[in-house]
Amino acid sequence: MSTDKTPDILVVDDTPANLQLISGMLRSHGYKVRPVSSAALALQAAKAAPPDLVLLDINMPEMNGYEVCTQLKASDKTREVPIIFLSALHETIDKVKAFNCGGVDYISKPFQFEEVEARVNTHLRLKSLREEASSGRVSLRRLTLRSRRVRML
Amino acid sequence: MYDKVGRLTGAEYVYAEEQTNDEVVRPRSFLSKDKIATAVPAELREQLRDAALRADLDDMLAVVDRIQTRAPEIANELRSRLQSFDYQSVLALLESEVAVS
Repeated sequence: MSTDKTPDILVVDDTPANLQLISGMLRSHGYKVRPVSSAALALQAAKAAPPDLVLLDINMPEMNGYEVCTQLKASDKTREVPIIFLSALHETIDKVKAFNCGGVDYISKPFQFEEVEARVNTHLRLKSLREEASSGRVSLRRLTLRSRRVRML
Repeated sequence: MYDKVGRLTGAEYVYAEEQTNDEVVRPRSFLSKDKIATAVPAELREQLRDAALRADLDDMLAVVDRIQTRAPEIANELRSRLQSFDYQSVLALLESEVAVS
């Protein structure tokens, strides 16, 4: 996420009402949102134009969120895109699976939008810092300090 | 059992015809790949397809707004499908058309 670009978020959920709700809230806070209701379309869209972040439901027909995440992490184009799971599953094992397949965070439904936005912001900032660091514009020390600050939020 | 009753009583049973699935399933809408190909210029169809592949709803709706002046019925149907996130059916209409042309 660069400062001169509106963050682009791919939201994946097979329930249209959820998509409407999350997309509307994120849009109203200035994000560009690409809502998708199927795993196959999500993979296609992410590869066609990698987003800055993915909000991903787990329980979907045909292909679940874990499989989508695994495929995104297997592709050079989308490997670095942070994926936040958004799910009604509350078991620890579900959360562990989400992290094991490459997710950076997990938000339980029902959620408060403030929490979603805070986590989205945090991961967008971390991604931005990683990109800066890898392009050599900041020192490793500065990255560490900023990351600590982000985590404190 | 009905055969047996029929033989004993001389009654003849006439069975109603079964309703087939074809009679129950109705087309989703008037929209077809031919109609889109005829009414919507290739440039707009291509832009819509590109936006659908990226799942960029804003871009898709912007293209549909441009289709509105040329083909309002088609634009309304496309908008309705897009607003319910049914990009797949829109892509199917456009992909088929692209494959034919």
